[in-house]
Amino acid sequence: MTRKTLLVGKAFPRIEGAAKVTGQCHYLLDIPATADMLYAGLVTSTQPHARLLSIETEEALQQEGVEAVLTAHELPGTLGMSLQDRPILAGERVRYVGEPVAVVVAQSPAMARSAASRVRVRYKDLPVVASIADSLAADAPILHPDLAHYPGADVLDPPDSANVAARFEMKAGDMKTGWARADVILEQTYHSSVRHHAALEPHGAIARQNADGSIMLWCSTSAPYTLRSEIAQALNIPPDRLRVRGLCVGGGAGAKNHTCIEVLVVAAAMHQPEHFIMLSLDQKQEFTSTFVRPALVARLKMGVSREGEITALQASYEWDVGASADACLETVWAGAYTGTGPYRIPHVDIRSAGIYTNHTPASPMRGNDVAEIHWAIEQHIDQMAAAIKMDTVMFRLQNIVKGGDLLALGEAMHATGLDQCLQNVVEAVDWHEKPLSRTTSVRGKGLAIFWSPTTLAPKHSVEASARLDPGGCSIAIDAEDAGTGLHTFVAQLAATELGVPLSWVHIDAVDTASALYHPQPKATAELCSIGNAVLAAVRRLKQQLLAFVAEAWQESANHIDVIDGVVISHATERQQALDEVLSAGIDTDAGRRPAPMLVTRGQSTPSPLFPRHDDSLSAILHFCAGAVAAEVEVDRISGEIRVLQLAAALDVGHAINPDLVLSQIKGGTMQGLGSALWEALIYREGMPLNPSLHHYSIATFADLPAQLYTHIVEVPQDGGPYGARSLGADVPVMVAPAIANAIYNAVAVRINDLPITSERVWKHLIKLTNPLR
Amino acid sequence: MNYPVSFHLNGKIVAVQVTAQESLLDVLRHRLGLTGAKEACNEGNCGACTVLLDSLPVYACMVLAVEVDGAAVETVEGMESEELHPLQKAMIDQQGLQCGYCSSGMLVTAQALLAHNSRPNKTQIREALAGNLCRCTGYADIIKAIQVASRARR
Repeated sequence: MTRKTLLVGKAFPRIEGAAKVTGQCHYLLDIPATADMLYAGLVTSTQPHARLLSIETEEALQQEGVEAVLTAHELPGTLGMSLQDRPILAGERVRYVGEPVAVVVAQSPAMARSAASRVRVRYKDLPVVASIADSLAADAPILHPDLAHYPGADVLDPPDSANVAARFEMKAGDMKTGWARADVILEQTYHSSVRHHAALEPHGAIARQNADGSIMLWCSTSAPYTLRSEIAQALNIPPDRLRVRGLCVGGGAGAKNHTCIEVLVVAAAMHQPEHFIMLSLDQKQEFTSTFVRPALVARLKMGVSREGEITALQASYEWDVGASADACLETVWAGAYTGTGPYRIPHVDIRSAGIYTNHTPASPMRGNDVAEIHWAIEQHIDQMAAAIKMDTVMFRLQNIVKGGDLLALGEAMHATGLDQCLQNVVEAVDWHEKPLSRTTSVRGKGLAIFWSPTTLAPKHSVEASARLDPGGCSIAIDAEDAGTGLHTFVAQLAATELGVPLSWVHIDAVDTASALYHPQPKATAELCSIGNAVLAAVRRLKQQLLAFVAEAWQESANHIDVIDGVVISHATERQQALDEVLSAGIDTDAGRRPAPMLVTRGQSTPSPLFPRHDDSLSAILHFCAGAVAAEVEVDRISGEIRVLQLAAALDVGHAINPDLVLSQIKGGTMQGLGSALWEALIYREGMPLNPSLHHYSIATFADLPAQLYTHIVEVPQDGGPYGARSLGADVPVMVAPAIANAIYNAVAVRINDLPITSERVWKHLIKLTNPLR
Repeated sequence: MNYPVSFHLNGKIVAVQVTAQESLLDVLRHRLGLTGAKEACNEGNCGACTVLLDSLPVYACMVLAVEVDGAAVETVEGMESEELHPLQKAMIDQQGLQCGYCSSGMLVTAQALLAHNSRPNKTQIREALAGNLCRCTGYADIIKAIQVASRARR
């Protein structure tokens, strides 16, 4: 009966595009200052690990225009959704360079900066935990001696080793059998670097406490509900007192899903009621006082039979979570449960642990950091294939996880197009064609595949609401679109379901005071659950609309539909434009009757693949999977690396908007290129050496490979909206190992440490040519 | 101490009092209310604040406001007339943006390029825009957008 105009599966420009290209899209810093606005300035730790002897605020307080200086004395408390291990302000000790120690409130940004520099902090240095190895050493200083008493620790049950914040394990089969069946066993250790999300828009916030005690917060976040919960809990106020408003977000990549400095602005606003308080971070603070992406030490031991079957995997993943683990727990968890890589392995023993160090706290960057795991696994796979003299494509295809395979986590894998992705990139780079080489510069091709879980808190339901009025259809969801295209995807789903043109649908900015029911304050920002909630809300909206029309026209609602924005009766062929119905009223036999404003809500309670029953930290909804092929040219003398081509293919289930999906894949691939070759936030004894975009290199226009090929594979996801999977996070995952494998295939140099700098390649090359060096 | 500065902004003369340490970006955003040029690194690293100064792209965070006295400044707000500029339209259609924070700077830099070279090739586009960082798109679609726009302009 229903004839839907499908706006799903079609390319549309992003709905907020015009606002963005004209400069009219309002980000936090575009909010105009008010006359009484006050400005916060941060005093941050200059030492990686020290006891705080004193914080002298008198001189700062005497500066012109200074209203207040807050320290842990005025503002005690800790932050954390699952584990409260992050002080709002450092109290008796500092644990990383950049840790907020005090907040100054002044009448201008310059006064705030000046006063912040006049807060005298006296430190007594403590031994620095500069690495995972340092942290696990027998005589290591203990960074959180009271960890066992932190709220949340009882649930997590942190292991006995002092600097281990959390540990998760996954075991399957029997390791003895696995090793016995192996003909070749290979052990290897891989390292990745600490990285920075490096979203262009810095963190910032504006807050105000109103006369009635309610507090408003505007900030650059993808997850306003999460921030509200974290801040309310830390400041010991009821969540309803704090109203968080979403804005246009200038990128986040995972760094804007938890509160860092926003809580300080809210606290300052409570201290200076009825003033707007504003804080925007400078570049160094952005790199050191927000979040970083965790580094990984991966130790793999893998067994393989001569026939090419992977028989066993023992893996240890140790994550450098920095001074606080809370924002990174999901990474530690996902590390265990995705730690086999996308392979069928019968005997598995995987441990994943979050280790405290004196680095900036870590938070996931694009996809729970499974990139780091694949950095290890995918290089290891190439070496295993070589050890049994098997083609790497054949070896992968033989062991790749397929729909129906029992996973080590105890459940069967859903349908996946991973093998198609692999074959697609193999063709895209003419894999079997030997690359051209010259005497000094040698070319090679490399491959990597991946899987990446979409995760959610278990038993979590997601809500959306839909409203129909003369302005069109407005949708409210719980997440802001930090550039992923989420709002456009959602608008396409809603327009299709309702039967109206895309331009009718608007996505509201998030407002935590809206009536959205939200049981668990964890942002999803992921298409699958949000999309299903939106579909449910719009379906109800349409039912109510059709019931209203049916009543007005005295027909059965079964005969009425909305097609391309026109209400139409299939029985009588009566029709009226929906916008006219909404603005002027519906034509009935007794004249026009005004249309009511309709508001509905919809829920989606996803059924996770794993775990199905218990109350874990997180649940896996499905795996997004894909493949990358790279071709590189390496200069034999200098070690210089040129990436000539990159090909990426992803199984996204169903591409709601193929152009936007491809845009995600391209962008992710280039982020992956940067993280493969350059990106590293370098610490020396806990001191960050390159905290700015000047010294921390991300990919630029100049680095774009001559060939960048991207491809979508569509094997629909059960339970996904129109079969779609969530993506966006996952794409950069496999670029680095593909490049590493290509370098090996070119010059027989294997780089186990990220980033793959030319210097590292050169150091290996001179060893090959002159073993004495 | 304040200094009087007047300059052409998107074709109109403006006169403002500025302090010696104020950047052009501060003046545009805070005194003149034009927030199209974005504030990001404030250190001349990223290009999000790019504007045209006498037709050439500059980082507005690195230019002192007193330096622009008598000059012509163009921002993204000046690109659009009755309808979107072909570059703006192509950026939307070709997916040349995601979070949008770099877009204003990209657009005016591209505008300056096309003013000097109406049909740039890929290499020329890459060189001209190398000072503008984008964390989201991976650049390829921005290049495509500029090429599409250059053809649309005849």
